[in-house]
Amino acid sequence: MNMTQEMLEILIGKYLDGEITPSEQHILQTELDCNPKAKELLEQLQDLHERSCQAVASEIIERGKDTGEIFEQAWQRQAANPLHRVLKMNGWLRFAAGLAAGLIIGLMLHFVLPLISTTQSLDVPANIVAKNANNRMDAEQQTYPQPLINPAGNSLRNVDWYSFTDNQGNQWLVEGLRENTVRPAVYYGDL
Amino acid sequence: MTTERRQNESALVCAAQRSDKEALQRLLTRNWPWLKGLVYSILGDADQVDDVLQDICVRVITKIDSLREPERFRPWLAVLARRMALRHRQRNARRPGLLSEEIAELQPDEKAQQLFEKIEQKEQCRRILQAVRLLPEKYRQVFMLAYAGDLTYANIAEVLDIPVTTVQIRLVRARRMVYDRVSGKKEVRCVRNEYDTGNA
Repeated sequence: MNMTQEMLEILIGKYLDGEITPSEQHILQTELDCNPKAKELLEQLQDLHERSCQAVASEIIERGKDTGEIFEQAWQRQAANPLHRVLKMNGWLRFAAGLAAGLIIGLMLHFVLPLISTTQSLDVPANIVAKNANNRMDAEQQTYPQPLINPAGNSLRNVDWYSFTDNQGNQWLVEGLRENTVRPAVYYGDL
Repeated sequence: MTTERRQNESALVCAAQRSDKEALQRLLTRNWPWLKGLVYSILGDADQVDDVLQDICVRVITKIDSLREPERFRPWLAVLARRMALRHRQRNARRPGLLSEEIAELQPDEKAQQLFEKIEQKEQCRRILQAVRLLPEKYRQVFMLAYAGDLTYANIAEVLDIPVTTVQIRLVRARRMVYDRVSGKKEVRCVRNEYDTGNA
């Protein structure tokens, strides 16, 4: 029977590990009977197997602390950590805690947000026309900003219009720019 | 038998999920040998194994209730253990089998075969363990689970989440590599070559 090296090693390995089936054992036995090299390989691997068992036992299994001791230390460690206790809360408790936290945050936002918006609105400067309480036009003293647009072209500008009567009875039409600046737009003597 | 063991283990997992300390301890004790072997296969240092095992225990205690399939406890534990051991190894920045001394010791010389006959059992064990440390990780894990955990091929396959045939092949190759290193890379090769020639 022609058996590959790896196949033979697998069968020997199964034999050493006690995993060989009767039919496989029969195949292995036949091979061992007819080929002395296979027998030699079995002896070598068997020797290695036994020494490996001893080596692993002495290095790992028989060394180190007892299982119970390690477990007990681990148990005490996790019991001492409050975070672990929180994580161990059951599902309903965690849900309730989450709900409560959400409610608190929601209420805080509900009361704090309007306060913030009110504070910001107080900072807006009052309209210049409203400030002019004694009904005087001090437009001549102001330096007006140059228009940024080409006067020859069409333009769109956001403005408010105000009607104004001065002390002499002249009527003014005042163009109030949304940028909080005031400039006279048109003056008609007989208006 | 395996089904009975698995059912028993699943029952222990369910009890452990209800914070039953005794069940948890029994569960870990049952799986202790292979767990130790797996951690050793990653760390390559027996002195550090206990520290990592304690960390694993803490992790299991806190996370056992997140395990949804109790019958998959072993693969879950293996993944957790591997992760913890790798983290520990990275933290200590000491990779197994990378020390030049160890490699130098394993270089075969002309007298290795003669000396091999004379060295004591302890020395042989040490050489085997060094050879195991130098195995590629996937072979080392299978080797350690087979020898430290005393697990069947099916159990190793379950723990590592690989097919049984892969376990068989990895174990055979691991043994061959260990033997080659321990014996100075001659004996098995020699026999193998002769064997192949004879067969051919």
